[in-house]
Amino acid sequence: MSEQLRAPAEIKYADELDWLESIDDGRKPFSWRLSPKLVRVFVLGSRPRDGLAREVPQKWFGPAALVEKAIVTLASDRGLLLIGDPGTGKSWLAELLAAAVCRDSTQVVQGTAGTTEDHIKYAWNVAEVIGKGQSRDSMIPSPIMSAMQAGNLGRFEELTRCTSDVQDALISILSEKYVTIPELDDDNVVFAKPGFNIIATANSRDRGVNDLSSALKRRFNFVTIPVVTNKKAEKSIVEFRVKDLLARNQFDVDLPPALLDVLLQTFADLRVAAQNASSDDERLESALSTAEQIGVVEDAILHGQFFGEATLAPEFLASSLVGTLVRRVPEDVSVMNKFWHAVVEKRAKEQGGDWVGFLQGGKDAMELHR
Amino acid sequence: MSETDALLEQLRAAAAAFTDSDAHLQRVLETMAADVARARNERLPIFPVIHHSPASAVHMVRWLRERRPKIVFMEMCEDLLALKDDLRDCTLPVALQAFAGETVGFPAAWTPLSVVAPLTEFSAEYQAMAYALQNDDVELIFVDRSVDHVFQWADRSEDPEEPAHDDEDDVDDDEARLHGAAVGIEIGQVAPTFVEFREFLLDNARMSRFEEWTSLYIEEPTIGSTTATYREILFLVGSLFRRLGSTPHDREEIRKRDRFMWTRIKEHLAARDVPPEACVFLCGAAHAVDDDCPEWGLASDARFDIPARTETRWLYGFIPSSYGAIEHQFGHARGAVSLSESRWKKACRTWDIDPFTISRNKKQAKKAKVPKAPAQLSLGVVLSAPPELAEADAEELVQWCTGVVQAARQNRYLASTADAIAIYETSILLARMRSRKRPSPFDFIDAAETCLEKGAPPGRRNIRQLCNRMLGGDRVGQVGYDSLPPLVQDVYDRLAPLGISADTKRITRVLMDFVKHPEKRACSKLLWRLNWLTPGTRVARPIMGELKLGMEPKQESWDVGLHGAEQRAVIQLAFEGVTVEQVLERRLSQAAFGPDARTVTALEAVEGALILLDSPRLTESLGHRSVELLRNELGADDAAEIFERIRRLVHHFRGTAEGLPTWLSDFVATGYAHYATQLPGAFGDRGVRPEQLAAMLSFVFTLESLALAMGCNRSQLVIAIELSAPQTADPEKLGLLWAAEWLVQVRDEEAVRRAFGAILDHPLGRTAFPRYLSGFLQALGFAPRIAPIGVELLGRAFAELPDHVLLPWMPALLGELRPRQADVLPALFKEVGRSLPRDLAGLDRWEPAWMRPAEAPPAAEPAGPELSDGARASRALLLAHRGATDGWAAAFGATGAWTEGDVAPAAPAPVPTGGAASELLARHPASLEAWARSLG
Repeated sequence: MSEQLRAPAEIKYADELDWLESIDDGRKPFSWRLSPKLVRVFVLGSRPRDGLAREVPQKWFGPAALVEKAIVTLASDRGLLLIGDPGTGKSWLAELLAAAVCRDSTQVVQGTAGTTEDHIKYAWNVAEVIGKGQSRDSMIPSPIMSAMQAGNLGRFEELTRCTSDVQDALISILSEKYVTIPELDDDNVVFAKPGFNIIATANSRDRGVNDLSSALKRRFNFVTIPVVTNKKAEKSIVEFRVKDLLARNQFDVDLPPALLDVLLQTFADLRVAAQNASSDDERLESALSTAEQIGVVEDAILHGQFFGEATLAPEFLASSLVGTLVRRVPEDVSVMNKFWHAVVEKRAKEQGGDWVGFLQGGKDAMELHR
Repeated sequence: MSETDALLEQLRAAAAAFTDSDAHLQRVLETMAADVARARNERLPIFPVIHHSPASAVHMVRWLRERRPKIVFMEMCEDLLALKDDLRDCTLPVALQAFAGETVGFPAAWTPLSVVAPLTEFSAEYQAMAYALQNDDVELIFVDRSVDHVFQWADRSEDPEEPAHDDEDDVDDDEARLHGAAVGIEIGQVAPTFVEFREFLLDNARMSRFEEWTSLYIEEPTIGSTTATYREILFLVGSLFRRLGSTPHDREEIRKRDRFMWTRIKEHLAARDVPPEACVFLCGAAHAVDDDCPEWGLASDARFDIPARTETRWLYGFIPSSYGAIEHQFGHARGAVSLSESRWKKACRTWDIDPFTISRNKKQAKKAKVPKAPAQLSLGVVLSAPPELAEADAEELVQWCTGVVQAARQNRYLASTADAIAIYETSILLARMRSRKRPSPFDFIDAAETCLEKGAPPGRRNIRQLCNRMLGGDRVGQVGYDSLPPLVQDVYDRLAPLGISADTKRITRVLMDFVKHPEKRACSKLLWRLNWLTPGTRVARPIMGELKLGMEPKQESWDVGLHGAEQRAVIQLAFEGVTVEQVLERRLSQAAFGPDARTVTALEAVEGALILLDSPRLTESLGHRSVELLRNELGADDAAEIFERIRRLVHHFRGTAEGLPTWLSDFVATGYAHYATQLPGAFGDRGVRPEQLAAMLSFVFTLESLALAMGCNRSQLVIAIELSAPQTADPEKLGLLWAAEWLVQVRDEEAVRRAFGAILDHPLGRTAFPRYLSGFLQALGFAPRIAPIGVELLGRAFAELPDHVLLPWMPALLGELRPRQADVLPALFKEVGRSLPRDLAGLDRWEPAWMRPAEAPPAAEPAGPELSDGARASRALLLAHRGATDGWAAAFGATGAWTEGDVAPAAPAPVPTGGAASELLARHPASLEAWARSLG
C-alpha cells in the first residue's frame, strides 16, 4: 500500500503523464509539460480519433467545452476561476489541470475567513529574521509565490471565502506578474516565470461568500461548472470514484448496476421534489450533488465491508443515503419520510427488486432519527 | 479505375486501419459506396440538400445556371404547391402553412392540425423555387406526401403537436414561438435520430452541437468544392445517416416517403414529354439512397399504392417565420440559422454568386453574373485533407471581438479593449485545440463567453445572446398584402386610418381622440375585437381605455402590432372565417354552445356579443342558451361570477329604451327559483364554501323584486331558508344563515343578537365566534342593514375575545375584508362612523352599546291628548275614588274597564289655586264641606 493516504493527481497518474509527455509533439505554451490538446486528453480521456496507442481513461466528467475553455484560459494572460455548486468537481478539475500542465498540483492556498495577505504573498521566519535579519533566506514564500518562481500553476481554493482586501492581493499578481518585497533593499522583486497562472475555485451556493471586486473579476475568466443532471454522466462519475475508493482500500466489492440505478433514480427524484418544494422547510438542506452520491456509496461500501456481509446490500445503501442527507432534525427527517412514502414506496411496489430492500433500509434508518 | 472504385478502395483502407476484423465494417462501407454510385448514375439527376445550408444553396444556384432544368421536383408536401405564386409578395423568412380546424379521421386530441414549412433565402429549395418562378418554361412540382399524409403516418400513440426543441437553450423571445404548436416540415433534414450514433459522432469530433459538426465536416469542405464533389459527399453523408444514424422507425418513414415521391415523379414524367435528364430532383441527402425501396429510381416500374387522403378540409397560407422560430421548431442550436445566413452572404461575395430571387416582376432584366469557378477538389481530396477555407479572414475575427465588447458594454457588462484582445487570443487557442485552422463562430462565441461572462448577466441579454445578435441576429419575415387571406387584408384596410406603416415590424403606439376624429371609433372597435380574439399576443393591446357595458370612451391609446412577428396571430384568425366579426361570432357561439359550455361562459359570451359585436340577435340567442344552461347547472361554483355578470347586464338593460329583454327576465326568475331550491342542499354540502352560499343569496335577495315581478313566490325562499337551518353545523354558514333568516323575518334582530351573545358567553363556543361572525359579515354584500349589528359584534369580539383567539383571527379578517372593499366596507365604515364618538371629548363619555345597562322599559304613557292641570287633578280625583267614578260612569251609560296603567298618584294632586273656581269655593266653604262629605 502507498505511504500516502491520497496521492495528488501528478503522482497517481505519473505513468500516464510520462507517456503522454513522451508522445506529445504539439505546440506547448510557455513551460507547459503537455500541449493543450493532450491536457484535454488527460482530463477527458482519449477517443479513437486521437489515434493514441494507449487508452487514456476519462478523469473528469462534464461538458468538454468547459474543459477546453479552462485550458485555453490557463494558456492566456488571465487567471481561471471555476465556479459551481459544492460537489460539482471544481477542485478535482483544478488538480487535474495543474497536474497535466506543470506536474505540480500541490501549490494550494485554501481560502478561509482567516486567510491573510501573508498566505498569498509571503511571510517571515521570525527566528531567522531575529538571528540574521530580513533576507530572501528568512522569507517564507506562499504557495502562489512558489508557483510564480517555478513557472507553475498556483491553486486558490474557495477564493470567495476570503475577505475582499485579501482577495485583492491577487490583482497585482495577476496583472504585473510579480510581487515586491518592500522589506528588502536588494533583490526585492519576485518575478513570475512563464507558465505561471492561477486556478481559483469559488462556491456559487454558499451564503457567506465575499463577492469579487470588479478589478479582480476582469483578471479572471469565469468557467461555471454545472451540476450533473445527465444520468449517464452521473453514473460514470459515481462508478469512476467508487472504483478509485475500492482500489485505495483494496476492497473487492462489485457495485451492482441495478443498485446504482436505484441510487441515481432516487437522487433524480429527490432533485425533482426539491425543485417543486415551495419553501426551504420542504426541501433537504443538501445540494444533492454527485459528490454526495459518491459519499453515499462510499459509506455503504465501508459499512458493508466492516460491519456487514462484505457485499453492497440495498439496505446499507438506503441507510447511508438517509444518514448522509438528513442533517436537520426533525425537518429533513420529515421531508425524507414524506419522500420515502410517496416515491420510494411506489417504485418498490412497481419495480420490486432492489427497491424493496432499499425501501426497508431507508425506513429503518429513519426510525433511528425519530 | 473509376471514381467509385477509388472511393471504395479508400473506404476499405479506412476500415482496415480502424478495425481488426474489417469484414463487417467493410460491408457497410461498400454499401455506402454503392449508394453513392447508384445515386450518381440515376437518370433523373438527384440534388441532395441539407436544410438551411449555404453550401447546398450555392451549389443549387450553380447547378441551375449551368443545367437549366425544365422540371424541378422537390421534396415538399404536394398540396402546398398552390402557394408558390404568393411567395412573390413575401419577405423571407416565411413559412408555408396548412391548417385544419376540424378534422375527419384523426384523433380528436390532435385538433387543430397545423403544418409549417419555413423557407429561408439561403436554402437550396428557395433558390430552386425562385428559379422556377422566374422562368415560365420551368415547372416546379412538389412530390412529397401531402400534409394529410403527414398526420396519417404519424404515430397515433403520441401527440404530434409537440415540436422538437433544444432544451439547453432558453427560449425567451416571442419570435421563437412564431410557429406556435405546428408540426414542422423541413427539406433535407440530416441530423441522425439514432441517439447513440449522434452522441458517438459528436463525442469523437469533440463537439457539443450537431450544427457545429455539420459546419465543420459538410459545409466548409463542400462550399468551395465542385458541385459534383458536393453531390457525392452529400450522397455519402445521406447513406451514412440513413443506414447507421436513423432509428428503425425513422428509416421506415423515410422509405415510405421515398416510395411516395418516386411514384409521383414517375406519374409526372409519364404525363409530360420531358426527358428525365432535363429535370432535377431536389431532396434531402437521406432520400438519395436506395434503401430497399422498390419504387426508387426510374429504372424500376414499381409504383406505390398511395393511400387516399381523409375528408379533412385543409386551408393553406403563409405565416411569417423567423430564424429563432426555425431553430426552436427543429431543435437547432440557437444562432445556427443566423450563422448560415452570414456564411451564405460571404459565399455569394467570394464566388460572385448571383442568387435567384422572387420578385413581383416576373421578368428580371438584370443579367446574372457568371459565378467564379470553384476549386476543382475531387472527392478524394476533400475526404483526405481539410479544406482551404474561403473565409480565412483574420479581419473578420477582430471585428467580431471588438463588436461583442461594444455590445457587451451597451448591455452593462464591464468590458474593455483588453477583453477584445483576450477574446481574440482565446478564440485562436480554442480553434487550435479543436483542430481548426481558424476560429469558427462557435469558437468565437465560446471565447467571448469565457472572457466576458462573470456570473449573472447584468442586463437583459447574456453574452451568448449578444454574440448571436451580432453574428446575424434574428430576422422576422413578413407576408405581403397580396398574399394575405381576405380577413387580414380586411383588417389592414379598416385600420388604415391609424396610419400604421406596412414596413414597420415594431409595435406602434396609436392615440385616438374620438371627439376630433369620430371616424376612428370604427378602428377602436376592431382593435377591441382583435384584442379579444388574440389574447396573449401583441397584436392589439389597450394602454389607455377600457371596454365596459354602456361606456362611450372619448380617448384611447393602443399598442398595435400587425406586421412582423404578430402577423401570424392575425393570419391564424383567417383560418376561422372571412372577417373578424365572423370569427368573433363563431368563437362566442362556441363558448356558449360548445360541449364544455357553462352558464358563466355563456354569460361571458353574451357580454362579449353586446360590447364587441352590437348584435341583438346573437345576444338573445346566447342569452336563451345561458338560461338553459343555468337550469341544468348543479352546484354553486360559479354563483359569484354569475351574479356579478347578471347584475351588470340588468343595470345595463334597465338604462336602455327597450328595457330588460325576455331572456334576462327569464334568467332572473330561473335563477331565483334555482338558487332558492338549492339552498338547503348547499348549506348541508361541505363542498360549498360560505362565499358561494353568499353569492347565491346575493342573487336571490338583490334581484328579488324583479323575480317576484316575474311571478316567483317568496314563500319558496322562506321555506328554503327554514329547511336550511337543520342542514348545517358549520359556524360560518350558520352566521350567514342567521342573517338570511333575519331578512326573511324568520328571526328578529334581538334574536340574532342573542344567538351571537350566547356563543360569545359560552367558554367553549367563544373560540368559534370569529367564524360565526365571518359568515355573518358575508351577508353585508346583499343586506347592508345588518351593518349596525355587524359593527356591534365586531366591537364585542375585540373587547371580549381572549388574545389567543383574537390575534390569529385578525389577519384572516383583514384578508377577508380586503377584496370586498367595494361592497362591504363602505357600509361597515358608515356604521362605525355613526356609532363611535366623533371627537376626543366624546371618547371620554362614550360607552359601547353592548356595555350600557339594559334600559328599563319605558312607563306606559296614557294614551290620548295631553291633559291640562285641571283635568289631571280631576283625573287623580276620579282615580282616587273608583267606586264613585264607576257609579257616575254607570249613570252616564259609559262602559269600560280599569287598566294597569290607571294607578292613583301617591300624593294628592295639587289643587289648583287662584282662578274663579277657587274664589267660588273659598266664598262658600259650607257647600264645599257638604260636597266633600257626600263624596266620602
